[in-house]
Amino acid sequence: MRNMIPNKEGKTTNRLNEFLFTTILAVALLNLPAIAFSQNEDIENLVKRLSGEGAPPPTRPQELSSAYKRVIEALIPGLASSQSREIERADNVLKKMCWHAGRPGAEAERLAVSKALAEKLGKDVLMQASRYVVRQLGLIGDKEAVPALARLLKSRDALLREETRRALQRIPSEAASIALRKAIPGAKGDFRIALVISLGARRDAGSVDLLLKEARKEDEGLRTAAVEALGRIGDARATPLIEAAMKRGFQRARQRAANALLILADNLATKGEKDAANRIRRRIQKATTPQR
Amino acid sequence: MNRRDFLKKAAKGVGFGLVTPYVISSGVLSAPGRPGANDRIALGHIGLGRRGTGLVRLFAREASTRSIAVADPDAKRRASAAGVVGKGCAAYTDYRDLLDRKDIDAVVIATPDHWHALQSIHACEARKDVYCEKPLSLTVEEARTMVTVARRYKRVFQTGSQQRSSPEFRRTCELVRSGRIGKLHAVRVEVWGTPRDYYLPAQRVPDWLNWDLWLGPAPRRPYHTRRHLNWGGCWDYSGGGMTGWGSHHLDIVQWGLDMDHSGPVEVFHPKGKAHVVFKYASGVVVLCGRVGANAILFEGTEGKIEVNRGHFRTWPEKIGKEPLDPKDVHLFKSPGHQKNWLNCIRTRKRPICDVEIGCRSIIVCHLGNIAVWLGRKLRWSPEKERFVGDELANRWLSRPMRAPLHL
Repeated sequence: MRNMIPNKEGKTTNRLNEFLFTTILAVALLNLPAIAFSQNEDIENLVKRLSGEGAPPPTRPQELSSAYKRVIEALIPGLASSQSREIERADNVLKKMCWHAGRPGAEAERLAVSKALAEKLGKDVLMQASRYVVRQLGLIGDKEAVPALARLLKSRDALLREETRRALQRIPSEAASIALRKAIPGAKGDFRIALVISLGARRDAGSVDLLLKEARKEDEGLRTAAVEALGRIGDARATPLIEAAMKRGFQRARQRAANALLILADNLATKGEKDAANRIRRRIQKATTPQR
Repeated sequence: MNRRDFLKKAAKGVGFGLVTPYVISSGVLSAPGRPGANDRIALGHIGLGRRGTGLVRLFAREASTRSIAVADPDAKRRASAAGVVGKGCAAYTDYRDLLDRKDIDAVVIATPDHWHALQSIHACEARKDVYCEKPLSLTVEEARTMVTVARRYKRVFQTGSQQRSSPEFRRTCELVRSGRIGKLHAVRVEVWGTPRDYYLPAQRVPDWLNWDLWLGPAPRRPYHTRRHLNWGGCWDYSGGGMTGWGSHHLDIVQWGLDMDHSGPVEVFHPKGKAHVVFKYASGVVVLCGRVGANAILFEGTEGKIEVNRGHFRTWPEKIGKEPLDPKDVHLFKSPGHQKNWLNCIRTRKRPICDVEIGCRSIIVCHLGNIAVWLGRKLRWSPEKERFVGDELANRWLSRPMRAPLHL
């Protein structure tokens, strides 16, 4: 036999055979998930794999995407069901799969499930099912999910709109801020207020100009929400507007504006703008007339 | 000056006059025409369920207080609680009407968990001192905001984790912190139960209930008796057993570990087990769940101490019998949880379970729930109050409220 050499244990090995065997084994192991995945794979098994309970999920992007799409497609009827148990079953599977995909080091899975969910937010999915999908996108979605969510900010379904706003509020990407900002001009009433609140909660410095405009509006609820958002963002340009809001409208609105001024001062101080913060605080103290 | 005149004048001065955080409640500072330090503290009660009504009764026994208003979206509960107080007690559907009253010095909050943060914050902004039932909050962000706001307005804020005022728990923590059981290495805590979503059909809203107000910052959902009455198991309104009992027992763990201004650095839920594991920087491991302890069991190199309400046991027995030396750790002896708060309202000192302490304890509970939900090992920075290296886990630290309500 050729190439027979003694190894450490004193046995002999065929070098060529060893090389071929190792190569084939390595290729097989690397492709195991892909090999195991097939379009006909049982959904339950696929769910387990995508939730970290079975074999590893497919590694090839296309197959991973296809796997998530199949599972989500299978869950939609449950999410859209009128039966509480059906909804619960489907939502629990969806949650488990999404939360597992959100673990550190699994960006490919997170991206694939987020894209697959965002794609479902179209016309063929009932509003009810969309709400469950949107909720998960708020927890694992990123910029890839924003365009689909942004469209839902115009939905006729108030519950879905509100769910979408909350989801976008949680997504840290700048794209989510832009989507919220863009939705404001077309929004009315309570939903416009809600969008303003989201921008404040995100401390979105890019929305200051927009919020300064909203803070000049006649609508007391909107004006107050904008003033509070500006306080949270902590931009000194908002000071005169907040002070003006403290003298307008009903007592509760004025009180909320006054609180916003204190928050603004605190936030300016935190950002290192101590002079501006101290100026506000001095004005507050100076203007405080003991009435008690 | 009658109340109407006063309110008119106050309204005129709302711009800067009411903005100051340096104002303390009317019943605390003596001034011409205003009650002085020796007068009774005027209380408002927000939330009148079983615990809320219990607190109305409890404070009614305190000679230094007078309850003058109650608020709850449930008309039956309002009437019942107002009846407990008796003549002269105003009853409101909306707590904001109660907070508008300038003659109320302090409020007692005992609503479902999802309301705690907002009501406490609004009370602080209205310059009321606060007694807020545990669990302090529904999220980490809420708890931290509550501390910030209480400090901004210089409020006396007691978290209702009343085991801090019980002698058996104090003594346990004194012994542990004095090294009487040697080097502490583990704590077992019998607390378990994460909340879940409720998937329930719509039912007719009872005509005595303002359901929208009851939901408040929680997502809009149709009425169902289970949501309304069993809210403690639903994650829209509660952190379940983990926060319900955790805010008692894990609060004592924090006290025993001298971690009132810090917390664990790692948390995980071992697969298939009914417990979570918290690791502290000191190396102490806390097992929290179905772990076979009678409430709390501190385990050291030289002994163990187990404590529950009315239960105190040590191994060896002598540990529990020996008195503390002057050099040992001596913790503050609270005269009673409610009484301590009332005393602090007068002295403006921080109470035994100040909001910062309550915040740190409830954060531990929230971490436990998040670890169960996410099923992975989480590293935690007690300084930054953020998960380390897991940005998606950090999204679980806050929860957007239903507009127009917000933190």
